[in-house]
Amino acid sequence: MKIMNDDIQGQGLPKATGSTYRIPDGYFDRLPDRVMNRINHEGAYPSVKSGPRLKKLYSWISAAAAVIILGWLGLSGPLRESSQERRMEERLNWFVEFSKGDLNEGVLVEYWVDNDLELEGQLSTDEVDLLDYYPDWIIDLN
Amino acid sequence: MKNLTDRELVDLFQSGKNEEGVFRQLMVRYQERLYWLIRRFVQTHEDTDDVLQNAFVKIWKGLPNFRSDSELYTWMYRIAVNEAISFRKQHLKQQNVSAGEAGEYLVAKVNADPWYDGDELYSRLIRAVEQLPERQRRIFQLKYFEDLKYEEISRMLETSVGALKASYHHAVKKIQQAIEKED
Repeated sequence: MKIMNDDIQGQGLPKATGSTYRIPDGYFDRLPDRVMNRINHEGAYPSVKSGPRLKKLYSWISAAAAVIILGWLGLSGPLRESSQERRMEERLNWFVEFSKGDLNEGVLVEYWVDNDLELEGQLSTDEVDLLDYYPDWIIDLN
Repeated sequence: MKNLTDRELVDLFQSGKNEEGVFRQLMVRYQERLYWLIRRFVQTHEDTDDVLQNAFVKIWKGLPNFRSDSELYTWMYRIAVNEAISFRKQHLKQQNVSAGEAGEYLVAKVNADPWYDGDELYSRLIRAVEQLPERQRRIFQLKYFEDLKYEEISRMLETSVGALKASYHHAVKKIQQAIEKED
C-alpha cells in the first residue's frame, strides 16, 4: 500500500497527514496498461499520421488560395479601376490613415464635399437620401 | 527514452514513430502528479482513477496538435483540472446535489472511501473548500494542495499573478472562518 507523502504549507489550516489519502498497491505500475487498453478499445487513435498530412494539405490550400487571389487582383485591378477611382481611393486611404480614431460618417461626407468628389455618382439612391439628414453646415463648407 | 526532455518526447510522438511507447513514457513521468492533483478535486480514489484515465485519453488525442509555445505539464495540468471540474459538476448533477449541499455530500462520500483516513479537522477543511466559489476553489487547490507557484497557476488559468494572490488570500480567509465557526 502506497501512502502519499504530503507536505502542505502553512496558513494555519489543517494538514493532510501521511495516511490521509492512500492508493492501492501497484496502482501506478498498472495504470499505463489500463489507459492504453482503453485507448485501443475505444479506437481513440491520435491524429499523428493525419497531422503532417493535414498540415501539407493546409499548405497546398493556402498556396492555391494565394495564387487565385493574387491572380484575380492582378487581372481585375486594371480593368475595374478608372484613373478617377484610383485617385479617390488614394485620397480616402490617406484620409483614413490621417484621421484614425475620429472617423465617422459626418467627417467623411465633409471630406468628400471639400474635395469636390462625385458623391452622388458613387452612392445608391438610398444613400444619397440619407445625406439630407446631415446638418447644413457640412454642405455649406463646399 | 527516459532521458529525453518533454519537448523531445512530444516531437517523437508527433513524428508518428512509436507513439504508444512515447505516450507510456509520458504517463510514467506525470501520472503521480496528475493523480494527486485530481484527487484533491474529487477526493475518492475511484473517482480519481476515472478522471485520470479520461484526462490521459484526452491528452493522447490532443498531443498531435500540442504546440510548443506552452509547457507540456502546464497543458496536461489544465486538461486534468478541467476534467476533474467537469466530472464533479456532472456527478453532483446526477446525484441531485445542490451547490450548497456539495460540501456535506463530498465529506460523506470521502469518509466512505476505503482509501481515505482523514480526521474530523480535515473533513472540515474539505467541507470549507467546497463552499468556495468555483474559481477560488480551483486557485486554492492548486496553491495550497499542489503548492504550485503563482506564475505556474497564472499560466495554467491565464490569470494575472496579482488577481491570483487576491483570490487565494480571500479563499484562505473564508476557509479559516468556516473552520472556526464549526468549533
